Amino acid sequence: MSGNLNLTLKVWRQKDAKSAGRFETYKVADISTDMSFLEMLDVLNEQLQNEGKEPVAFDHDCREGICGSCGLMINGHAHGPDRATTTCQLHMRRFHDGETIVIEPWRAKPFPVIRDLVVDRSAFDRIIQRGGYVSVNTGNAPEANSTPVPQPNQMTAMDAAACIGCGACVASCKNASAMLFVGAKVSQYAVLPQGRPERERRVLRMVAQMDEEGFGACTNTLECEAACPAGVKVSNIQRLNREYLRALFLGTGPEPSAED
Amino acid sequence: MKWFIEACASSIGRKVITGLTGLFLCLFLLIHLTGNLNLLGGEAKFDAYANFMHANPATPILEIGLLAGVFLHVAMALGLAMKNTSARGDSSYAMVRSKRGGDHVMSKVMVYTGLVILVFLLLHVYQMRFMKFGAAKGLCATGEPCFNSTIDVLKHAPTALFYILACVLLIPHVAHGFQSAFRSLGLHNERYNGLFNKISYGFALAVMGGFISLPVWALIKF
Repeated sequence: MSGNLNLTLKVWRQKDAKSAGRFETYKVADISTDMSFLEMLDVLNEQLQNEGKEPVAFDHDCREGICGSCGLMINGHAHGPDRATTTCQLHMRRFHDGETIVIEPWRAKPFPVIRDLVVDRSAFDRIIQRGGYVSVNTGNAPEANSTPVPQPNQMTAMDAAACIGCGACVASCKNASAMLFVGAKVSQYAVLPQGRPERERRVLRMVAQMDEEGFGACTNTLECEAACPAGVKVSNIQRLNREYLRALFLGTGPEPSAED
Repeated sequence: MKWFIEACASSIGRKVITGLTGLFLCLFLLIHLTGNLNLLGGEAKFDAYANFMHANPATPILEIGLLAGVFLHVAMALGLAMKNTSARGDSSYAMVRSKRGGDHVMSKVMVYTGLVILVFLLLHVYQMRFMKFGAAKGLCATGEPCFNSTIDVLKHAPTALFYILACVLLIPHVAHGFQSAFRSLGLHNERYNGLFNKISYGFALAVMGGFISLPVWALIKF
């Protein structure tokens, strides 16, 4: 069909975490511009399987842009050239015929490559385990007016909670900093009454885990905000800093004390 | 109290200390420039200012504060720079492009501009604080005239050029650092983003322009 794309792909191939990786070059032909980027990779994998070769491993799940599983460095852009778009929601119409596309996994010391384009993002889970929760059962949806929440706070919390934990912020940051992720997770609780009782302890513990995992620190290049598929703002990093300072001077430390 | 010290050494803690000491050093630059501009007022005016500073009992205390500020600023920033470099891991990207459309030169060069400024600072203190330079050697102790020995340093072409270079490098360093410090302190507000950036650049250009004018003036006039 006319208008379809013939592409050259330079894909990172790596057998496992211990092996050294390298780029392999593949050609794919007759790619519909209506395909998503992952569907294009599916075509590549079918082609590889037909040739008796090992398909390229990549993370994906919902393919609706809401789960945060997918994430590729496409021509040097996290999740490709579009703003507020996950890799699965990127469409091939954004590329032109004859183009060479470089596809790499997220690169960060805390995100080791497991295979090909798949990285281990459990560092994020460990940060959440350290404090990204509220320690009471909230039960069913409560009566709306029993805990008043100002509307702007609802909006701020909701915008922060939009984070899908894909890791594009880390991938696109020149320091591989996770401060946008941690900022979003701290913010979504810090502005709501349910999150306030544990706010000091939460931020101290999550930042300690973030440092332990080996993520870098923010140098305000704002690249994370541009790469975030969920539109999480860097103002969440400023709130993280504020919450941290508040915890330093008003809190009782990262562990629960007798007074708590 | 152990947790408090540990928390101060965390990435955010270090950023806050770098920012606070940076703002303190910005304040010093402003005061230093205000004093140094007395040079343009001639010998009598500058010597009167120098005598006032030398006789002031607060001066040695402020000097110790400055030394501590510089030490903390450099130590924290170097620690962060090393952490940031190692965070990418062993293999870097074959291709990286900015989605925001910036090249981030300002933030990338912070550590390098900072190190050149540190070398300048050591030379500057050696030449001007301890007056170990050329004909002016040992002059300008308490109560002695300072104007001529200061001009001697500033009109020495290699020294003057290095002073000018350091001041030029301080422009991006201060411009990025000034607004970055407010972000690190959590004081940034989306509404004032543009304003903060303008103030940063305005401050850096004005203060450094002032400092650069002094060796230029000395080279032309003497």
